[in-house]
Amino acid sequence: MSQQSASAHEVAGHFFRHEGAKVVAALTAHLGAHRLQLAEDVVQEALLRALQTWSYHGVPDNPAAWLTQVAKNLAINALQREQRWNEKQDGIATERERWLSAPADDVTHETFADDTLRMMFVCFHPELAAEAQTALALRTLCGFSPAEIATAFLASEAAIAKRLVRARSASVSWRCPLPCLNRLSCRRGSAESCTRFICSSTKATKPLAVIALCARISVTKPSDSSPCSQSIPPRESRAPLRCSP
Amino acid sequence: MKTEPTNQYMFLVRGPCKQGYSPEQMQAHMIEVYAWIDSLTKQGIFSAAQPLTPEGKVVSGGNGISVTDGVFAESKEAVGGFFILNVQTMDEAVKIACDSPMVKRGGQLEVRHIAELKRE
Repeated sequence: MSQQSASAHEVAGHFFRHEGAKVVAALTAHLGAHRLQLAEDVVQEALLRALQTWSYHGVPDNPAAWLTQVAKNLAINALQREQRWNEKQDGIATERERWLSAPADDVTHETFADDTLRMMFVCFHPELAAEAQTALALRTLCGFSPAEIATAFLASEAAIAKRLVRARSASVSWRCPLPCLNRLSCRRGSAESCTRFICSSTKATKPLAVIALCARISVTKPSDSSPCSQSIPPRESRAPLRCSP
Repeated sequence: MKTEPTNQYMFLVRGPCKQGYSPEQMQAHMIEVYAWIDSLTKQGIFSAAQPLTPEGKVVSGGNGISVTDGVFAESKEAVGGFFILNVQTMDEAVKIACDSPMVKRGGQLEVRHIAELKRE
Protein backbone atom coordinates (compact mmCIF):
# COMPACT_ATOMS: atom_id res chain seq x y z
CA MET A 1 0.00 0.00 0.00
CA SER A 2 1.54 3.29 -0.97
CA GLN A 3 2.32 5.88 1.65
CA GLN A 4 1.20 8.68 -0.59
CA SER A 5 -1.98 9.61 1.25
CA ALA A 6 -0.20 9.98 4.60
CA SER A 7 2.60 11.99 3.02
CA ALA A 8 0.23 14.35 1.24
CA HIS A 9 -1.38 15.36 4.50
CA GLU A 10 2.00 15.80 6.17
CA VAL A 11 3.07 18.50 3.75
CA ALA A 12 2.38 21.67 5.69
CA GLY A 13 1.09 24.76 3.99
CA HIS A 14 3.83 26.87 2.37
CA PHE A 15 6.37 24.15 3.09
CA PHE A 16 8.38 24.59 -0.10
CA ARG A 17 8.48 28.34 0.35
CA HIS A 18 9.71 28.20 3.95
CA GLU A 19 12.22 25.41 3.59
CA GLY A 20 13.59 26.92 0.41
CA ALA A 21 14.12 30.28 2.10
CA LYS A 22 15.95 28.64 5.01
CA VAL A 23 18.38 26.84 2.73
CA VAL A 24 19.05 30.06 0.77
CA ALA A 25 19.93 31.75 4.07
CA ALA A 26 22.24 28.90 5.07
CA LEU A 27 24.05 28.89 1.73
CA THR A 28 24.45 32.66 1.71
CA ALA A 29 25.83 32.54 5.26
CA HIS A 30 28.50 30.04 4.29
CA LEU A 31 29.30 31.13 0.75
CA GLY A 32 29.04 34.87 1.33
CA ALA A 33 26.55 37.56 0.41
CA HIS A 34 28.16 37.96 -3.00
CA ARG A 35 27.00 34.45 -3.88
CA LEU A 36 23.33 35.19 -3.29
CA GLN A 37 22.40 34.46 -6.91
CA LEU A 38 24.14 31.10 -6.78
CA ALA A 39 22.35 30.25 -3.53
CA GLU A 40 18.97 31.07 -5.04
CA ASP A 41 19.70 29.13 -8.23
CA VAL A 42 20.76 25.94 -6.48
CA VAL A 43 17.84 26.08 -4.05
CA GLN A 44 15.40 26.51 -6.92
CA GLU A 45 16.93 23.45 -8.58
CA ALA A 46 16.81 21.51 -5.30
CA LEU A 47 13.11 22.32 -4.91
CA LEU A 48 12.48 21.13 -8.47
CA ARG A 49 14.19 17.87 -7.71
CA ALA A 50 12.18 17.55 -4.51
CA LEU A 51 9.01 18.05 -6.53
CA GLN A 52 10.13 15.40 -8.95
CA THR A 53 11.30 12.82 -6.43
CA TRP A 54 8.89 13.33 -3.53
CA SER A 55 5.88 13.13 -5.85
CA TYR A 56 6.59 9.47 -6.32
CA HIS A 57 7.44 8.29 -2.83
CA GLY A 58 6.41 10.98 -0.42
CA VAL A 59 8.26 13.49 1.70
CA PRO A 60 11.43 12.19 3.40
CA ASP A 61 11.76 12.16 7.20
CA ASN A 62 14.00 15.22 7.29
CA PRO A 63 13.01 17.24 4.24
CA ALA A 64 15.18 20.22 5.23
CA ALA A 65 18.23 17.96 5.35
CA TRP A 66 17.36 16.49 1.95
CA LEU A 67 17.02 19.95 0.40
CA THR A 68 20.21 21.18 2.07
CA GLN A 69 22.18 18.18 0.85
CA VAL A 70 21.01 18.53 -2.73
CA ALA A 71 21.62 22.30 -2.71
CA LYS A 72 25.13 21.80 -1.30
CA ASN A 73 26.00 19.26 -3.99
CA LEU A 74 24.72 21.56 -6.72
CA ALA A 75 26.72 24.44 -5.23
CA ILE A 76 29.89 22.32 -5.23
CA ASN A 77 29.31 21.46 -8.89
CA ALA A 78 28.73 25.08 -9.81
CA LEU A 79 31.79 26.33 -7.96
CA GLN A 80 33.99 23.64 -9.46
CA ARG A 81 32.76 24.57 -12.90
CA GLU A 82 33.71 28.15 -12.24
CA GLN A 83 37.04 27.02 -10.80
CA ARG A 84 36.71 29.61 -8.14
CA TRP A 85 38.07 27.59 -5.26
CA ASN A 86 41.10 29.83 -4.87
CA GLU A 87 40.14 32.58 -2.51
CA LYS A 88 42.65 35.03 -1.18
CA GLN A 89 41.67 34.11 2.32
CA ASP A 90 42.45 30.42 2.58
CA GLY A 91 40.59 30.08 5.85
CA ILE A 92 37.29 30.99 4.25
CA ALA A 93 37.81 28.68 1.29
CA THR A 94 38.69 25.78 3.55
CA GLU A 95 35.71 26.37 5.79
CA ARG A 96 33.38 26.71 2.80
CA GLU A 97 34.73 23.52 1.29
CA ARG A 98 34.36 21.69 4.60
CA TRP A 99 30.78 22.82 5.08
CA LEU A 100 29.75 22.03 1.50
CA SER A 101 31.27 18.56 1.70
CA ALA A 102 29.76 17.70 5.08
CA PRO A 103 26.59 15.62 4.99
CA ALA A 104 23.45 17.44 6.02
CA ASP A 105 22.23 14.79 8.46
CA ASP A 106 22.22 17.02 11.52
CA VAL A 107 20.16 19.81 9.98
CA THR A 108 17.50 21.05 12.36
CA HIS A 109 15.34 24.12 12.77
CA GLU A 110 17.98 25.71 15.01
CA THR A 111 20.59 25.33 12.31
CA PHE A 112 18.81 27.87 10.18
CA ALA A 113 17.96 30.46 12.83
CA ASP A 114 21.33 32.27 12.84
CA ASP A 115 21.71 32.03 9.09
CA THR A 116 18.29 33.57 8.62
CA LEU A 117 19.34 36.43 10.88
CA ARG A 118 22.47 36.93 8.80
CA MET A 119 20.33 36.88 5.68
CA MET A 120 18.36 39.78 7.12
CA PHE A 121 21.54 41.83 7.38
CA VAL A 122 22.27 41.03 3.76
CA CYS A 123 18.79 41.99 2.54
CA PHE A 124 18.65 45.31 4.38
CA HIS A 125 21.96 46.51 3.03
CA PRO A 126 22.23 50.33 3.09
CA GLU A 127 23.28 50.37 -0.57
CA LEU A 128 19.86 49.20 -1.62
CA ALA A 129 16.78 51.39 -1.93
CA ALA A 130 14.00 50.61 0.54
CA GLU A 131 11.79 48.93 -2.06
CA ALA A 132 14.70 46.78 -3.19
CA GLN A 133 15.49 45.77 0.40
CA THR A 134 11.89 44.76 1.03
CA ALA A 135 11.57 42.88 -2.26
CA LEU A 136 14.82 41.02 -1.61
CA ALA A 137 13.75 40.15 1.96
CA LEU A 138 10.36 38.91 0.82
CA ARG A 139 11.99 36.81 -1.87
CA THR A 140 14.90 35.29 0.01
CA LEU A 141 13.71 35.28 3.63
CA CYS A 142 10.06 34.49 3.10
CA GLY A 143 10.22 32.63 -0.18
CA PHE A 144 7.59 34.67 -1.99
CA SER A 145 7.73 34.49 -5.77
CA PRO A 146 8.16 37.68 -7.82
CA ALA A 147 4.52 37.34 -8.90
CA GLU A 148 3.31 37.23 -5.29
CA ILE A 149 5.49 40.21 -4.33
CA ALA A 150 4.11 42.13 -7.32
CA THR A 151 0.56 41.56 -6.10
CA ALA A 152 1.45 42.96 -2.68
CA PHE A 153 3.30 45.98 -4.08
CA LEU A 154 0.67 46.62 -6.74
CA ALA A 155 3.56 46.64 -9.18
CA SER A 156 4.08 44.52 -12.26
CA GLU A 157 5.91 41.23 -11.98
CA ALA A 158 8.44 42.54 -14.49
CA ALA A 159 9.17 45.56 -12.28
CA ILE A 160 9.69 43.36 -9.24
CA ALA A 161 11.90 40.99 -11.23
CA LYS A 162 14.04 43.94 -12.35
CA ARG A 163 14.28 45.20 -8.79
CA LEU A 164 15.49 41.79 -7.65
CA VAL A 165 18.00 41.49 -10.48
CA ARG A 166 19.47 44.89 -9.58
CA ALA A 167 19.62 43.97 -5.91
CA ARG A 168 21.45 40.75 -6.68
CA SER A 169 23.85 42.53 -9.03
CA ALA A 170 24.65 44.93 -6.22
CA SER A 171 25.18 42.01 -3.85
CA VAL A 172 28.03 40.67 -5.99
CA SER A 173 30.28 43.43 -4.68
CA TRP A 174 29.40 42.82 -1.04
CA ARG A 175 31.85 40.85 0.98
CA CYS A 176 29.32 41.23 3.80
CA PRO A 177 31.35 43.13 6.40
CA LEU A 178 29.82 42.78 9.83
CA PRO A 179 27.86 46.01 10.23
CA CYS A 180 28.84 48.40 13.00
CA LEU A 181 26.13 49.48 15.35
CA ASN A 182 25.16 52.69 13.54
CA ARG A 183 24.46 50.87 10.34
CA LEU A 184 22.63 48.24 12.34
CA SER A 185 20.10 50.88 13.43
CA CYS A 186 19.41 51.79 9.81
CA ARG A 187 18.89 48.21 8.91
CA ARG A 188 16.66 47.62 11.92
CA GLY A 189 14.36 50.41 10.80
CA SER A 190 14.00 48.90 7.36
CA ALA A 191 13.56 45.45 8.79
CA GLU A 192 10.75 46.67 11.02
CA SER A 193 9.00 48.30 8.06
CA CYS A 194 9.29 45.04 6.21
CA THR A 195 7.83 43.17 9.16
CA ARG A 196 4.82 45.48 9.32
CA PHE A 197 4.36 44.95 5.61
CA ILE A 198 4.52 41.19 5.94
CA CYS A 199 2.07 41.17 8.83
CA SER A 200 -0.44 43.20 6.89
CA SER A 201 -0.21 41.01 3.85
CA THR A 202 -2.92 38.41 3.60
CA LYS A 203 -0.29 36.02 2.42
CA ALA A 204 1.75 36.39 5.61
CA THR A 205 2.80 32.98 6.70
CA LYS A 206 5.27 33.27 9.54
CA PRO A 207 5.21 36.88 10.67
CA LEU A 208 6.12 35.84 14.20
CA ALA A 209 9.41 34.42 12.97
CA VAL A 210 10.25 37.68 11.24
CA ILE A 211 9.28 39.75 14.29
CA ALA A 212 11.49 37.54 16.45
CA LEU A 213 14.36 38.16 14.09
CA CYS A 214 13.87 41.92 14.29
CA ALA A 215 13.85 41.71 18.06
CA ARG A 216 17.16 39.89 17.96
CA ILE A 217 18.64 42.57 15.73
CA SER A 218 17.58 45.30 18.12
CA VAL A 219 19.23 43.77 21.17
CA THR A 220 22.53 42.71 19.58
CA LYS A 221 25.26 43.77 22.03
CA PRO A 222 27.83 46.39 20.98
CA SER A 223 30.61 43.88 21.64
CA ASP A 224 29.32 41.91 18.68
CA SER A 225 30.15 44.72 16.30
CA SER A 226 33.43 44.99 14.45
CA PRO A 227 35.06 47.62 12.26
CA CYS A 228 33.03 48.05 9.12
CA SER A 229 35.79 46.97 6.83
CA GLN A 230 36.34 43.61 8.42
CA SER A 231 34.77 40.74 6.55
CA ILE A 232 32.89 38.01 8.32
CA PRO A 233 35.29 35.26 9.40
CA PRO A 234 34.39 31.64 8.72
CA ARG A 235 31.17 30.68 10.44
CA GLU A 236 32.46 28.00 12.79
CA SER A 237 35.14 30.19 14.35
CA ARG A 238 32.72 32.86 15.50
CA ALA A 239 30.05 32.79 18.16
CA PRO A 240 26.62 32.78 16.56
CA LEU A 241 24.68 36.06 16.52
CA ARG A 242 22.29 35.76 19.43
CA CYS A 243 20.42 38.28 21.47
CA SER A 244 21.40 38.66 25.10
CA PRO A 245 19.19 36.63 27.44
CA MET B 1 9.84 -17.79 -27.18
CA LYS B 2 7.33 -15.20 -28.01
CA THR B 3 6.11 -12.01 -26.41
CA GLU B 4 2.62 -11.61 -25.11
CA PRO B 5 0.97 -8.43 -23.99
CA THR B 6 0.41 -8.18 -20.28
CA ASN B 7 -2.19 -6.20 -18.43
CA GLN B 8 0.41 -3.63 -17.53
CA TYR B 9 1.30 -0.37 -19.17
CA MET B 10 4.26 1.88 -18.60
CA PHE B 11 4.15 5.66 -18.61
CA LEU B 12 7.42 7.43 -19.42
CA VAL B 13 7.32 10.95 -18.01
CA ARG B 14 8.86 13.80 -19.99
CA GLY B 15 8.96 17.59 -19.72
CA PRO B 16 7.99 20.32 -19.35
CA CYS B 17 10.80 22.42 -17.99
CA LYS B 18 9.49 23.68 -14.64
CA GLN B 19 12.12 26.34 -14.10
CA GLY B 20 9.60 29.13 -13.82
CA TYR B 21 7.61 27.59 -10.98
CA SER B 22 7.35 29.37 -7.66
CA PRO B 23 7.76 27.32 -4.48
CA GLU B 24 4.00 27.52 -3.96
CA GLN B 25 3.31 26.19 -7.46
CA MET B 26 5.77 23.36 -6.98
CA GLN B 27 4.11 22.33 -3.75
CA ALA B 28 0.65 22.48 -5.32
CA HIS B 29 1.82 20.28 -8.18
CA MET B 30 3.35 17.75 -5.79
CA ILE B 31 0.08 17.48 -3.89
CA GLU B 32 -1.83 17.00 -7.13
CA VAL B 33 0.43 14.11 -8.05
CA TYR B 34 -0.04 12.60 -4.58
CA ALA B 35 -3.81 12.75 -4.96
CA TRP B 36 -3.61 11.23 -8.43
CA ILE B 37 -1.41 8.33 -7.29
CA ASP B 38 -3.70 7.90 -4.27
CA SER B 39 -6.76 7.50 -6.44
CA LEU B 40 -4.97 5.08 -8.78
CA THR B 41 -3.87 3.03 -5.78
CA LYS B 42 -7.41 2.85 -4.41
CA GLN B 43 -8.61 1.53 -7.77
CA GLY B 44 -5.90 -1.11 -7.79
CA ILE B 45 -4.39 0.46 -10.89
CA PHE B 46 -1.13 1.72 -9.42
CA SER B 47 1.64 -0.85 -9.54
CA ALA B 48 4.97 0.97 -9.37
CA ALA B 49 6.65 4.32 -9.96
CA GLN B 50 10.17 5.67 -9.72
CA PRO B 51 11.73 9.04 -10.35
CA LEU B 52 14.98 9.23 -12.27
CA THR B 53 17.78 11.67 -11.40
CA PRO B 54 18.64 14.16 -14.14
CA GLU B 55 22.29 13.14 -14.30
CA GLY B 56 23.09 10.12 -16.36
CA LYS B 57 25.37 8.61 -18.97
CA VAL B 58 24.78 7.43 -22.48
CA VAL B 59 26.67 4.29 -23.44
CA SER B 60 26.68 3.54 -27.15
CA GLY B 61 28.10 0.65 -29.11
CA GLY B 62 28.81 0.42 -32.79
CA ASN B 63 32.33 1.39 -33.80
CA GLY B 64 33.81 1.04 -30.34
CA ILE B 65 32.02 1.92 -27.16
CA SER B 66 31.44 5.52 -26.22
CA VAL B 67 30.34 6.84 -22.87
CA THR B 68 29.12 10.40 -22.68
CA ASP B 69 27.55 12.53 -20.01
CA GLY B 70 24.02 12.65 -21.14
CA VAL B 71 20.45 13.45 -20.36
CA PHE B 72 20.30 16.90 -18.85
CA ALA B 73 17.25 18.16 -17.05
CA GLU B 74 16.65 20.96 -19.52
CA SER B 75 16.13 18.57 -22.37
CA LYS B 76 12.53 17.88 -23.28
CA GLU B 77 13.56 14.40 -24.26
CA ALA B 78 14.85 13.47 -20.83
CA VAL B 79 12.74 10.88 -19.06
CA GLY B 80 12.03 12.10 -15.54
CA GLY B 81 10.51 8.91 -14.24
CA PHE B 82 8.15 6.08 -14.99
CA PHE B 83 4.88 4.59 -13.78
CA ILE B 84 3.64 1.04 -14.15
CA LEU B 85 -0.12 0.68 -14.06
CA ASN B 86 -2.52 -2.25 -14.17
CA VAL B 87 -5.03 -1.57 -16.93
CA GLN B 88 -6.69 -3.74 -19.56
CA THR B 89 -6.58 -1.66 -22.71
CA MET B 90 -4.56 1.05 -24.36
CA ASP B 91 -7.65 3.27 -24.41
CA GLU B 92 -7.93 2.99 -20.68
CA ALA B 93 -4.23 3.76 -20.23
CA VAL B 94 -4.50 6.78 -22.50
CA LYS B 95 -7.51 8.08 -20.61
CA ILE B 96 -5.59 7.84 -17.34
CA ALA B 97 -2.69 9.69 -18.95
CA CYS B 98 -5.03 12.44 -20.15
CA ASP B 99 -6.30 12.94 -16.61
CA SER B 100 -2.84 13.00 -15.07
CA PRO B 101 -1.54 16.21 -13.43
CA MET B 102 1.69 15.90 -15.43
CA VAL B 103 -0.09 16.18 -18.75
CA LYS B 104 -2.46 18.84 -17.48
CA ARG B 105 0.55 20.99 -16.62
CA GLY B 106 2.02 20.69 -20.08
CA GLY B 107 4.16 17.56 -19.72
CA GLN B 108 4.17 14.45 -21.83
CA LEU B 109 3.46 10.81 -21.02
CA GLU B 110 4.60 8.12 -23.42
CA VAL B 111 2.23 5.18 -23.00
CA ARG B 112 3.67 1.73 -23.72
CA HIS B 113 2.15 -1.69 -23.31
CA ILE B 114 4.44 -3.97 -21.33
CA ALA B 115 5.17 -7.23 -23.13
CA GLU B 116 6.08 -10.47 -21.44
CA LEU B 117 8.35 -13.15 -22.76
CA LYS B 118 6.67 -16.50 -22.75
CA ARG B 119 8.41 -19.78 -23.37
CA GLU B 120 6.67 -21.90 -25.95
